[in-house]
Amino acid sequence: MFRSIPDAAAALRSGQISCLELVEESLKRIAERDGELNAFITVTSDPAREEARLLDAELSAGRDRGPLHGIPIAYKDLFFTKGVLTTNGSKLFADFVPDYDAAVVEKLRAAGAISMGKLNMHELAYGVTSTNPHHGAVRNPHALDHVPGGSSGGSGAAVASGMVFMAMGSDTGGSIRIPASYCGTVGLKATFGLVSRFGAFPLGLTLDHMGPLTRTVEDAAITLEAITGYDSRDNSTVRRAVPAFRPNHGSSLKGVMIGVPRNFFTESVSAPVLDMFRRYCEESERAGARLVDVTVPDVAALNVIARTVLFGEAAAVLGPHLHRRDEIGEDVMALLDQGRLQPATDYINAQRIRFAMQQEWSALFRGFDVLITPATPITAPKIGQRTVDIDGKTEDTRLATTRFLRGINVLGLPAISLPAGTDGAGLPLGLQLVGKPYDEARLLQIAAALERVH
Amino acid sequence: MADWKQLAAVVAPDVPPDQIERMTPVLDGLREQLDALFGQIPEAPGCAIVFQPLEDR
Repeated sequence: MFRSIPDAAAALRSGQISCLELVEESLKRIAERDGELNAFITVTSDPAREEARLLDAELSAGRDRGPLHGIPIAYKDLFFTKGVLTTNGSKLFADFVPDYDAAVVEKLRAAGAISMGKLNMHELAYGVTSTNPHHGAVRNPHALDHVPGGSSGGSGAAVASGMVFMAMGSDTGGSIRIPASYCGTVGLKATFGLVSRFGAFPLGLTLDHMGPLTRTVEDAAITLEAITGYDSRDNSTVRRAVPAFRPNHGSSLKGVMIGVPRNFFTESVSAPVLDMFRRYCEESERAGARLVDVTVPDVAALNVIARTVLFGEAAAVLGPHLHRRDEIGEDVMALLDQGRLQPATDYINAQRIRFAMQQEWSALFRGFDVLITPATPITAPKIGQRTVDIDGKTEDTRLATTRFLRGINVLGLPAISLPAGTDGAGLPLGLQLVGKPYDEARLLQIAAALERVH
Repeated sequence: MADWKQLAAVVAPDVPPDQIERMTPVLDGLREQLDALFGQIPEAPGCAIVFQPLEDR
């Protein structure tokens, strides 16, 4: 299988491989690995083959849709796909077949990407393990008794195991960046409002972001170019020209100012993650970046706001279904019940203080180009593991997993998780870069340069 | 501390009592954190939830 989308794209155009052969490769890989990984809920083999034949004919006739033409991808099962079962990982929608495509599905189809199917996920996207009570646990390709992370766990597993080149995910409190970190892929969450959420099951109305998991930064950039854009059907999208996001191949870290937090993001972190983080900071400096010591504002407070906002929004969005509580997993139902007991005044005040926090972080970001942090303070926990021990302290697995990530959703800033090696047990480590609003081009440029340094 | 059982009886009567007991420490903890944070909201306008009229889209 090819290393990246441009590699596969070049092979398609040189005649080395056809779109149909690429699809067959993907199906072969799915057949080989999905039995143990459980990444897919629905595999759409025949439609994929049909699509591939049409796209091969287009290429032969000189019609080239761009870098995603003929590339096998897949969608987290919360994206509406016309005529294809879309369950949101839930029994509530076990038989739901939408009659229209989500906005990102429309765009990716127009770009020539071929959907291999719908991916397993944490139930209702409200969790971080993808241990799904209805569709079974997704397993980490690097260690089958460990979680791939969530809620876009199927997306992480499918990309990490080579089943597809790109998998679409969603990120409300880390749900793209967590599986990226735990599975060793790239995971990109763009600025809030850049990518339409039309046709995706919502969870956190002011926290949800849609984005790709890929093998390389360039692949993420290619995908972002295809899916970005104002959409009148999603009133959170912004009217901005879509710039080129693909990084220059010659980009370096020379002169790049990287904010290095000296607090919060280096506290309660496992030894392998901390070693990785320090190593990346040192190597970035050797490659010409200028490290700027930063004391970040209260991230714990950001996380409290994240929980409060999400409690209210998720309970409101799923309210019409809560009479079916026996069909919802215990962990998710507990969160929804907590949301129902939260007063509206808490939600409103959380949104008010959110604005003050955005201003604080905006001032902080004037001093550097990107902030560098570990993506997760730990590597992937075991399936069923409710607590983790870090530096002698016991912490709830979900809170530990989201600690460095969910606050970024509150701020709406773009963030990317990069694979950063593995720990002694072979579990992937993840590095996060956080950028300025709408500064994805620079964020991706720096991420690509960091990717090359190591 | 809030009486979550009383509140649940009104707004979420289907939540089982043992679930409320399990949730109580979490809800109490969050309540404390929020009370501390909300004390920091400035009185002056500027910390509002933004509402804008719909321009012609």
